Amino acid sequence: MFESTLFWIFATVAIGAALGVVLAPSVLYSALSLIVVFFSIAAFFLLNNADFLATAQVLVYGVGLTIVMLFGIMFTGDTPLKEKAGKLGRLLIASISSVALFALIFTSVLGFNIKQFPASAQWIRELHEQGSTLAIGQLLFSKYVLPFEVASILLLGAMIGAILLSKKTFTSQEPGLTFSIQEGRLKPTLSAEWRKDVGFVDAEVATEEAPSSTEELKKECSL
Amino acid sequence: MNATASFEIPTLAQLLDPSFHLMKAIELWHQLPDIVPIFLTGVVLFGMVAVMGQAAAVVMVLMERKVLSWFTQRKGPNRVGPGGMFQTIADGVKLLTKEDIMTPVMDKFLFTLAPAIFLFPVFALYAIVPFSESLIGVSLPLGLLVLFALSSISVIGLVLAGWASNNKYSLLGGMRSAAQAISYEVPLILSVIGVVLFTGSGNLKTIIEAQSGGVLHWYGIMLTPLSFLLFYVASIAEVNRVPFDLPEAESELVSGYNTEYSGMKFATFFLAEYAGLFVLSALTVALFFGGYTSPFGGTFMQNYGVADAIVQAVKLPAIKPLLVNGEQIFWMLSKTYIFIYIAMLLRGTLPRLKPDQLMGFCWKFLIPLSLINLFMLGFAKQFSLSFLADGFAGSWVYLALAALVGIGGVGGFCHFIDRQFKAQVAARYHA
Repeated sequence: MFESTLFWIFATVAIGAALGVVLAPSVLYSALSLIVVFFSIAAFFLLNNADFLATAQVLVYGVGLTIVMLFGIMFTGDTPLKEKAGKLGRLLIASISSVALFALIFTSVLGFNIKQFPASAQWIRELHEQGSTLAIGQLLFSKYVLPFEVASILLLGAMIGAILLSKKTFTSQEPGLTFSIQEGRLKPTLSAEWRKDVGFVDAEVATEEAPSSTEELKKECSL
Repeated sequence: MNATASFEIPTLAQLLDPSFHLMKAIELWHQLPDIVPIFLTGVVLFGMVAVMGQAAAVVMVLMERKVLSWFTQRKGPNRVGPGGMFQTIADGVKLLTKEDIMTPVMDKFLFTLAPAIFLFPVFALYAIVPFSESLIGVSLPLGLLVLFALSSISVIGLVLAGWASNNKYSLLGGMRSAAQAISYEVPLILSVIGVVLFTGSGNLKTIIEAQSGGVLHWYGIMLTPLSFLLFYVASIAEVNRVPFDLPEAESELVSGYNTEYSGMKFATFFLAEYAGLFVLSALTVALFFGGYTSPFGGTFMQNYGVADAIVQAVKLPAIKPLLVNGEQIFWMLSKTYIFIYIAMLLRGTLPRLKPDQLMGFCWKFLIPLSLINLFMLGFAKQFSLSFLADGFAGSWVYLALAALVGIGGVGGFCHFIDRQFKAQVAARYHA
């Protein structure tokens, strides 16, 4: 009784906040509604005895992710959404892809048979006493170790990409060869001496001088 | 549970009899589903603890002013009450009655919401702090994770406060605090993993009971001193205190994210900061310094039969748990206040860091050091578990290693900062 009441309260909050994400007048309020959605999902996890999932949800999605989003919004400016939503083609693509995603998730949920995993009273008691961390850890490092590692490689790639994008220029170990990133594209530049050595003459590239001496390079690298 | 069958219309005589109502109430209490009494007990305990926390924050503000004035050879507040005792209460009354200023360019909804978002996780944290065996809001198997989840929420409050003020200094302060809190959360979590590794549990009560053998069993002293140092530094950065108080650097940002706040909203930020310092000091004690146990192991009340003697003298067996819990609260609070005092000492001693130094300190020094520490702890756990469990020969090896790494790390970082500084000076002279 008590738990189902809580479920309905959180379900209402979650759906209301999800609508808020779509209908909010500004991006900032959308992001804030998203925080509420994540927190109510954490509450669903708690109601199902999944305490580790709930705290991870709050830690990773509820705060970590949304803080990054808030950062992005605050640095780029909080523009009203109505000006940007005009293009019909974009709306069409967005609606088709979101309906497809919803269908995918919904069919996978329908295909999942909860009765495969009968919850015994003893199991629930153990969950209450020890938490679900032990069970999750054992599964992650035995049965699901491959997906876990693949996900970590994905995250590593994202991290390297983020570092690459956030650094405007970075230099290779060799003096004279500069990699610079302009508008998201990697652009190698040779210094004048190197171009002479290789016999490479290009008027366009020659306009941009890379720091030639080691001293200058060191100065640029150090903050 | 049979609610409909037991319903009868009571007679007037029954209604006038207080014992009838008491019996009905007890009957009703037993009829409730299990979760409701547990929930209500938790709420009552948490309410007690939160009120205690509020009072602690008021005391701490006065303590900070007195301690800092002592460091700088002043008298500090000494007008209101004996020795300035009621100064913070008077300040509180002033802040309550002060005008609440909001300029028309602000986002009023978020401006009001931000202090609340900042305050509530800090007070929710009081629910998991074990003040004694019984005085603990909830004893969760994942207490530590809940601690990190909750303490990260308050960042949202800071960012929103900065944004809603519509003031560039506030925004910069909010941004700085968010960047800082996100960065310092990494060493904070990494340093605690060592404790979890040795206890095998994230429950704070279990962690305290694992160190109940006295000083030699405290993790912060014998097993993981480096973890303790990392945790303490990171937690001071988490609550934005000197030397990590860049979000409110008054020389550059007026007053940071709370520039535009006045009256009770400002007081809310102020209160939450001190409450956060208290909670994090208490958790440092619980994780690394034996929590509510005495430095000699257990409690005096239980070890030396003091409680039994008192119970026999007063002939009231019911007060025994009260005595034991009272002693535990005493130990917990006194240890906590030692760490709060150290935080104030740091404030009186150290200058503020620069933003790039702050980030460099976290990412280039604390995080690598905590990873090395974690590796060493895993090594110690794998190969000399028996030493660590009862004797302490293994932990001395670890201590030596930790000292070496710590000294090397600090030296390396000082060298790094020094080189950076020299490069900056050189660049300025050349330009």
